[in-house]
Amino acid sequence: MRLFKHYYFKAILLFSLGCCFQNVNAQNVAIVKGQLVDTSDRISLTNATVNILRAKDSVLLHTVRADKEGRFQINAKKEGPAIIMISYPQYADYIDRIQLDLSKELDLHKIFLNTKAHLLKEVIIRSTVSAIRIKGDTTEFKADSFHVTPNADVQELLKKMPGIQVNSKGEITAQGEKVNKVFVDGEEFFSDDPAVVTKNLRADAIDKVQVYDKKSDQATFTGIDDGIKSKTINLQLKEDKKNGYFGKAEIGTNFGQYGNQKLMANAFKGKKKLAGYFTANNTTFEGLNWDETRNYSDGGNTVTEMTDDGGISMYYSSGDGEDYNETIGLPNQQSAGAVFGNKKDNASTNNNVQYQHLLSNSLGSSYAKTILQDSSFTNYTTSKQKIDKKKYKFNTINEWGTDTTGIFKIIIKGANVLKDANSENFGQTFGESGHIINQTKRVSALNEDDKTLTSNLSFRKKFAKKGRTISVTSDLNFNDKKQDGSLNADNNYYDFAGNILRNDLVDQLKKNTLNTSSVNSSLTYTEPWGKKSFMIFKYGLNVAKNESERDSYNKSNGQYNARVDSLSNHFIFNTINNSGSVNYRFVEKKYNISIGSGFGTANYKLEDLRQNSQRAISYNNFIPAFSWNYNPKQQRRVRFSYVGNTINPTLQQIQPVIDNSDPLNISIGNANLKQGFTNKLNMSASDFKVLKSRYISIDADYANTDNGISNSSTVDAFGRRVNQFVNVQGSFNYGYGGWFGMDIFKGINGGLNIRNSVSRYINYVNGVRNVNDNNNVSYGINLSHWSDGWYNFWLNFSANSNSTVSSIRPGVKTNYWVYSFNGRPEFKFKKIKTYIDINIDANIYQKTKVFANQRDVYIVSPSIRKVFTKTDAWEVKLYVFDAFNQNSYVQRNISSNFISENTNNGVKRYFMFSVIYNFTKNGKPANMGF
Amino acid sequence: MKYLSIALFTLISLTSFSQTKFINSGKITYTRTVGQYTIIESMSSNGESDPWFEDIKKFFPKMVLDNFVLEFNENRSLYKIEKENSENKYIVQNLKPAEIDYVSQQLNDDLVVMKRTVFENEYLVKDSLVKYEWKITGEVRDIAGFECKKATTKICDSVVVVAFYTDQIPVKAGPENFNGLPGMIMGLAVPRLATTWFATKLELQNPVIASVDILAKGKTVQRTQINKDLNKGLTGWGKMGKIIVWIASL
Repeated sequence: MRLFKHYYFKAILLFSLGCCFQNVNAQNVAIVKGQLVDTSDRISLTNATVNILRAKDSVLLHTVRADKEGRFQINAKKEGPAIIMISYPQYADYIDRIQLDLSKELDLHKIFLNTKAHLLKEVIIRSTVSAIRIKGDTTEFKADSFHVTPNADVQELLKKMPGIQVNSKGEITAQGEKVNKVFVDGEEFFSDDPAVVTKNLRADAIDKVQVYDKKSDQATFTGIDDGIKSKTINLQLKEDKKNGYFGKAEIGTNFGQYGNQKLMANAFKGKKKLAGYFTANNTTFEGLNWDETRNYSDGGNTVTEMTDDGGISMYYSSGDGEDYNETIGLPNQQSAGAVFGNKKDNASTNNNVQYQHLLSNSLGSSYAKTILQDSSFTNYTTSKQKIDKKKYKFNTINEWGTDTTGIFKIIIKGANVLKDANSENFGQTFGESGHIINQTKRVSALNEDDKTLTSNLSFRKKFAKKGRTISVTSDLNFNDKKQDGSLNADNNYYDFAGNILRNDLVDQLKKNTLNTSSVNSSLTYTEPWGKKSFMIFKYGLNVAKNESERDSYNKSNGQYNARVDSLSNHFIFNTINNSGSVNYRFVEKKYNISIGSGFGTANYKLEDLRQNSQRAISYNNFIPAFSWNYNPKQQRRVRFSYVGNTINPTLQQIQPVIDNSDPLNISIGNANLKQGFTNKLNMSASDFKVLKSRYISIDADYANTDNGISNSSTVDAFGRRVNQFVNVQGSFNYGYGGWFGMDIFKGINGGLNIRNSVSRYINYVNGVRNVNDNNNVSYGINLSHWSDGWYNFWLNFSANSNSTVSSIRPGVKTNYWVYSFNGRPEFKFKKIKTYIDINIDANIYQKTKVFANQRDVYIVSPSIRKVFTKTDAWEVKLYVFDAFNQNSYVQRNISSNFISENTNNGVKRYFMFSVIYNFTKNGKPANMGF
Repeated sequence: MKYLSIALFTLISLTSFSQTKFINSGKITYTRTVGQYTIIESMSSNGESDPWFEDIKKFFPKMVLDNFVLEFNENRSLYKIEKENSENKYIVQNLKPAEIDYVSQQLNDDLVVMKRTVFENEYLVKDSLVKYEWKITGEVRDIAGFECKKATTKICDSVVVVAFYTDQIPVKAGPENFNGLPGMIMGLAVPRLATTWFATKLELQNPVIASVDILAKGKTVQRTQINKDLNKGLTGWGKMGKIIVWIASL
């Protein structure tokens, strides 16, 4: 009933409104009418345009065309001052002011239009007068010769120039004529309207102001002057318009053991960039973070690539892959560096020097249990290590040319690493019943001088024919490593009763030198084949020479000069790799296919200079590949790929270098190792809906290896493990999983993922074939929110189930869960310029028989920072690392017949109070973040 | 040279018949130029020194060009991409023309139908023509042999659009959704998107353009639906989100 009433009311209202409109039409319309006539020919101007503009702002209110007799009539609905503008091709515009009055008819009767030819004479007469004043086509002002206040805009600059006036609305008049266009560096539209341009550009960014009469585009294009000109100002920017610097200084302390200092700056002048940094701290192993590397150094190992669908992806690998060993314990590091870069139209250069001094002190203990079919034994080791490392690096990257002329690039990198390492180890191995099997004690020292020089030369060119390209690259690498060291060891092996069966005392001096040089070259040529397909040909040649001399000396008569022949050797190892490949690629709009194969030979030649023996091995390589991509829609894709490749044994696997630094792990060679072959299949499908923030993807992969290279280990009565590489059959792995993500509530994204991986790994333990089956299932949930608002966060939770069973101990199945949680909530209180971040990292382990004493680890590190002053120059920050002091630096490894746990010392809970000063001139804020 | 001769030909042929003749139907080819670096540099207060942009520039050209065609008769117009150019690399993917997209205006009936791809969504919009408040500036320039007058308007409240129309084609249409000027729009510029459209060719023909009622078969939505979806989906996208909204509003 109520609804009905509503509609009923509406109907009445509509009806009455309709009546009103009729009344309006009858009385309240301002009629403007007239007839257009040509002055000379007296013809009627059919189709002439008649516009009515609002007088105050020239907004178009009505537009009509004249009829066959040149008559027009406009029914204007609003009254007020207006402009009538009449135009007809080749005729001068007729413009007049009129007053629109409702209920009044304005009859303009006959309006005479003049042809342009008629009108032009007057214009010419006028411009001859002004031409005397202008002197030539262009008047040019040098901006620097006009004094303006600092931070002045271009309008202020223009006001100072003779003959130019700027009114309150920002409209510019030059030499008495209104300026309609303001260009910036000759570009008209890639900047905003004239008033906006002159208001937004700083006066000190301008080199020259040019005032001229711009010919029409057609005239410029054809070179035939059509007489149409308009007053134009062109603002020529200074070459070094982008001139400034930014940087920061930071000092942090906990008023005790820990401290942190940073000083970094980046100055840029046009495309030239000069940046440098200095850092010192004793809480991390890193000098610069990602943002800092990009702003103040050479960008690190950032790789930017273009993806198939035209997007770009960027990834970053940190540092130069420090040994894990060198990043444990307590750090203390200082680093400094400088970079200079310049860019011209077709050339760029980037040069970088770096220094880092890293000290690490570590104390560790480990527990390892080896389980055999009939017995087990356990090893306990404690170790102490001190490393002092200095790195000097430089690199230079230079590029010339364009796609059409060809791009030539040279990269040269050099590094010298000096390392001093001292370590002490004490280990004992016990049998099942608790009796001692062996005991090792060793003290070693190493002094290393490692020099590397790598260079890369490349040339690539695109030919005029679409799809035809050529690229040539060549790498030259040199490495020169010298090691001086000493080894003192006392190794005892016991019988069941605890009597010493054997004692090895080692007191040796070690000298190693290693020289490597290699040349890797490749040539790639792509040739279009029809409109949609390409052939890709590639040839590569790698030649490498390694010379290695290792000498161990025993002490005799107080001097280390008795060479131990069994531990000393001198090899020359040469490899030559030849490879070629042919690929066919077919590209359709929605899918592409690639099929091809690589072939090649690898030749190894090993020369033992001491034994005067030689060994030569050669392998044939075969790498077939196929891929299929299907993109039915934007952001939806299906992929399938297959790749097969031969796996060659390395020389280390065939003939290892004898080394006595770890007497409990001994490697022996296997001359009968055969080449293996791996098949990999992969498929994936994904769909991303941006507007719904919904993402779905699934993928599956499978790989197997024929004649795979695996490990065979035999544990002898002394508890020593003898390792050898062997071929095995039957190893494979597969996995499948999926991701699902969506916007669950007002900008909060939620995601779910699940994955199952199954693998079979085969090795030999004491001569028995051991089949290890591993099954891993993981579930994950994540939540995130990212906006300009007052809070952002990401939270990940995952649960991992791991189960392992091996054939040598079929009754024992290891199965355990690990739950992990990590997240980062951020709160921004912009009004009081205060920012809070919290880093959370937690690992919770299922209590099992093996890890009964397992401790859950949760590391929570909050930080609060407040920014001061108008320009945000000063910042105060309080950071607490591991607020609950939970970090235990424990690493565990578990499989069916091997369990290990390593514990190390490390940086424990600390707070850090920092003061940061950010400075900038025309630069970006020091911390922009993407 | 090819373009020069076409331009000259159009110029000569048009000047000869323009005295007496107005063009009521035909096909205009526009070249759309996008100055991509300007767009990405506008996204940061200091684009040039940002290493991220330097990386992008290595992979994308400064200018990217595509041709669009506008078929028109006295009452109807149909605007679409001439031919999809898969080699064109757009930084802002939303500027990449979709082959299925078009805008068809039915001028006398105040109707428009358009197919518009925005990310994963394909919208079929049926609505009244977009009303623009055009300011006539009196400036004149020549485009493809036609004398054109300059007019400006704004979209999305603040984004300036500059248009050049010719009196010689008394059809009040133009590229994308632009309409309502006394004659055909031959040139268009959106400075904040660093994008221009300029007519390069006019072919005299009488195209048959399907009516809005025929094109709008299927489920249609109103124009506001696109903005509604974008505002919801692009929360937190900042400056980039704004640019995408401007593009979708063309």
